Amino acid sequence: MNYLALNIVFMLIAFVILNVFVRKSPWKLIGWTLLVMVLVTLIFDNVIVALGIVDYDTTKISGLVLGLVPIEDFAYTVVSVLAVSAIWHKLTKEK
Amino acid sequence: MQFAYLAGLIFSIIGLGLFDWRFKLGFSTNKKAAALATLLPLIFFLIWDGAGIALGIFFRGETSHLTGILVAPELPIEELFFLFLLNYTTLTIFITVKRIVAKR
Repeated sequence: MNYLALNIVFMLIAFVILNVFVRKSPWKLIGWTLLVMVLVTLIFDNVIVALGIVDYDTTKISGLVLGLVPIEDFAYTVVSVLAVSAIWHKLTKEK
Repeated sequence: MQFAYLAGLIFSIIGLGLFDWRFKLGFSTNKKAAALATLLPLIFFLIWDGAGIALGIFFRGETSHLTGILVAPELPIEELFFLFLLNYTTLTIFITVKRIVAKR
């Protein structure tokens, strides 16, 4: 299995769990948060790949990169934004 | 500098914590919600990491910046701190965005 297929499996699992958990998501807030987090990830991830902290099997990634970072890595950012935002929003909503 | 990456992660988490308390963001306003919002996704990411490692997609780099302490095969202790930092950064930004949108 390659990285893209792995991500699709885990993103689907995350979406199903989150859909059971929260019904109404604050999409506007999530959209802005995602935009900022993609930029943060782009910088941070490039640094850790450049430092050799993480490495990839080049036969299992799509080859699409942003700087040094395989585009697949951004799946973690997407799920982090959806999951953290949804859980926080749900638990702190005014009754 | 085998502690460089771990130190950088801890430094960043402490920095976020200071922002949190100074501007009353996440843990400083609702510890339980902040803990669940950061730790539940962290557990999910660890399973995701484990699958990626088991499939040989990504692995620990050959570098002198890691402590070498592993919590599972190819999974350095630094990854726990990284995943917490990822989710804590998301939480901090989400709450900040919410505040900005509410003010307008």
